[in-house]
Amino acid sequence: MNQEKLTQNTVSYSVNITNNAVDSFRISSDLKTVIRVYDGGCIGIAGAIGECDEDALAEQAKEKLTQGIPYPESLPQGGERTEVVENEFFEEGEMVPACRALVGELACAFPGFIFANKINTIKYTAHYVNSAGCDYCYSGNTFVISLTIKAKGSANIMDLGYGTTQNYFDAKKIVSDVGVLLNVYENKLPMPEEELPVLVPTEVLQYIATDMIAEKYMAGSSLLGGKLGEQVFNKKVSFNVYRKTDNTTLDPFFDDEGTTLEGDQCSIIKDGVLNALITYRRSAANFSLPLSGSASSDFDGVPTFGNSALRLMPSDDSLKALLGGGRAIYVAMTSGGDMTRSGDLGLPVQLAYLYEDGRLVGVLPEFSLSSNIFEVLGDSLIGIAKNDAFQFMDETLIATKMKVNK
Amino acid sequence: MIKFRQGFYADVRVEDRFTTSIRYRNGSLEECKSSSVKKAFIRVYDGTMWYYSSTYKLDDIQEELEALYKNATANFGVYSTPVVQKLEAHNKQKLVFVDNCVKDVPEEAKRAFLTQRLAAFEGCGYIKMTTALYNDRYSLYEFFSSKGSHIKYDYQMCGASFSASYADGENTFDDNLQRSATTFGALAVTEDDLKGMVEEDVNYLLNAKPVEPGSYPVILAPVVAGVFAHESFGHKSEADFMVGDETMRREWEIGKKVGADILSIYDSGLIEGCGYVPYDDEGTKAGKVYLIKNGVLAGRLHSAATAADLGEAVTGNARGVSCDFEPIVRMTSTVIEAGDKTEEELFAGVSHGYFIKGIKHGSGMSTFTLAPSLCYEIVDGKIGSPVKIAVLTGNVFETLNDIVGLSDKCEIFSFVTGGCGKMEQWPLNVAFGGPYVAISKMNIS
Repeated sequence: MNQEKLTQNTVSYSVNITNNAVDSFRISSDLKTVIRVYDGGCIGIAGAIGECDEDALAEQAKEKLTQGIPYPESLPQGGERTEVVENEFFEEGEMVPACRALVGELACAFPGFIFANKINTIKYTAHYVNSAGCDYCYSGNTFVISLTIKAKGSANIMDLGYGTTQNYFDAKKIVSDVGVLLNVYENKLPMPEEELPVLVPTEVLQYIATDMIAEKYMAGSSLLGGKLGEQVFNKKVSFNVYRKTDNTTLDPFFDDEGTTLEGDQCSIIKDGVLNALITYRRSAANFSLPLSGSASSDFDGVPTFGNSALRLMPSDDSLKALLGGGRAIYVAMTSGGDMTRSGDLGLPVQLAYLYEDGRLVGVLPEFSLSSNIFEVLGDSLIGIAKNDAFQFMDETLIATKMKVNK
Repeated sequence: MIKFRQGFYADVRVEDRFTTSIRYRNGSLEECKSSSVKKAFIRVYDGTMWYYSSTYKLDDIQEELEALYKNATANFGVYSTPVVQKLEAHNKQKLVFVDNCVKDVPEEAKRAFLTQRLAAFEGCGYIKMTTALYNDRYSLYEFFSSKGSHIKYDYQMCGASFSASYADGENTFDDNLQRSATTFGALAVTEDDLKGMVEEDVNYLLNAKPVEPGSYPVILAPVVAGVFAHESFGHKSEADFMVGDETMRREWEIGKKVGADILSIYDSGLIEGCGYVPYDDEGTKAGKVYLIKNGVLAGRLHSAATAADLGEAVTGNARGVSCDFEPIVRMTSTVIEAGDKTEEELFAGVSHGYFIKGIKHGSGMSTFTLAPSLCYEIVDGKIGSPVKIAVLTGNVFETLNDIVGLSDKCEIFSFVTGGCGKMEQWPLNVAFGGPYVAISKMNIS
């Protein structure tokens, strides 16, 4: 009988900011253990929160085999690997003073604005072992900065946001980044008459990512149906399952089923070609596809596909160089948005800036964007690059052409 | 027995949450689990800061509490602070679902509820993938506070969702049908319901045409109207966005005209369903709060902290999605009140526009967005051909003033998948509803 165990331990400290002041501090700890057993083509699962008797948990998992949930029995073979990524981490007593200092600096530097929401620091360890000899361990920590910003005198619940995950905390860089947004916030510009490139966040890919999931693709209900191995987007588009441990989002080098990837990456879209599908052990076996390292699971659930490690890879080193020092519309905040099953996108833009020669120069009126996803990532695409207007915020943008509905 | 110290306010919330999740894809069992998770969330307030701990170590609650006391600063006047003054103290037990608990329903019965209905998807060549999902939850809450509260109450929901992915060549469409109930015995999905969905979806797949983007009259179905109320106005009624902000207080002064005269929206934690919250996570008793009454701003949603800051009454809307998070101001069941027209009268008033029958999701800031699923053209007061619409958008206040008609029956919905998201906390169980709502113009793309 094959058996595997995944243990996930999370400790986090969280500071809440209300109206330019730190008003709460939260300590959270979580320990989850899941044991999965495989026999007769079925899976049995038992999970626990907190410390547990693993032998008893394994017995519970064996009892669940009678549920008859079909699942492939193969496990990752052999190998030991440990990656401990030790970044800066605030200890319990350090978090509140550091955040108070940051909020104080922000309030002082930008007296016309009100700052709120959260700063979190998270320490995460995942440990996977199986009966085939695999023993993988990952440990990392990160800061999650998530600030809402409201102009004093505004009737909106928030006017803009500043958010990023980073493996270090640098108040000066955060203040500098926020200044990039706020120093020109009152410079209200008319919408330029000429057609400009738009710089949209990579989240726009969420609308097409589900079409790369093996089950959907193989069922014939994917927008990319029948195009595996074919050019579907511009050559500048590469979309990877990214499990290199230099990520700031605490994605281990293995997925929740212990799958590891060559070079810790798997190209789903490679140079515009649909190179692979998003799989985990069950879908890979059902459709004879390679594993993409995309298994995700609840602490006591059957694994399924997850997309937390998906990354749109930059095609160019510099946004400024990509645009040749020219102007573009930087979409700083959208309000919803969606795509029809024909690929037509509608994207209401809550806040946009005029981007010029590597800088934000002023705020544009509200508008919406529309286009088709195959145009956005196809012939209209200019390139994909890190937003070089910011020092600390790790943001990749898609430079493309879309219809601006004023 | 929890021992509270002098010089601090403190409370402890414990949730024992039982859930079931069963999923069949294309008729094959993919998931079948029942979980019990018991956690605690502990709060200490010293008059200046809140200190929180989320823990699974239920035997160590006293130690966790003592650790929070060490972080805080003793303040023997804490019970005179406006926030603590607002916190209620109740000694109540309200266990509604003990005799009809989903924990007592055999797993086989829950699986059979799905498998007995899958035949409805058979025989349709356009269906490429089906998913049938059963979820339930029974939560037993217990709340203790240093003001003397000891509350015990329960919450229960169960539901099923049947999804289908359709394709005709490169033309694809996804849809689902969801039903929920507070007890397993009351959960009802018929094979005819599902066959009706398939028939309508296939028509949509084969005949829906893109719309020309622009501004059009629309009629929202009750489920869409409910999401619209939640997204467009409900979030703006959450008072934590107004704390310490004089501009917001002036802009959101009670009595201000904010919508059409026929419009009334309320939030209530007393309605049976996903938004049932008899006591919030600070121990405040639920009530019914009008947010808009006859087009006029009538109230807002509060925690103790926001009620103290704004000098208003608590409303029972301090909620955390689980014992992983602190309570913040959230909605419960948010509903547009019914009007005085029949459904037919509403449609008769539209010569050319669109009927938004289903919804995938919505969001709301000063501009709101609704992403619809099934939509139809309205021609000369009649429902016409299916159309494809990516999003509907509009300025919240302009649109609230553009409401020109409400039908005379209100429907309230509880979704069994997803929930409301606010900042880091998602998904929160909420309900929403309304009548059919006619709006003179919305932006469609």
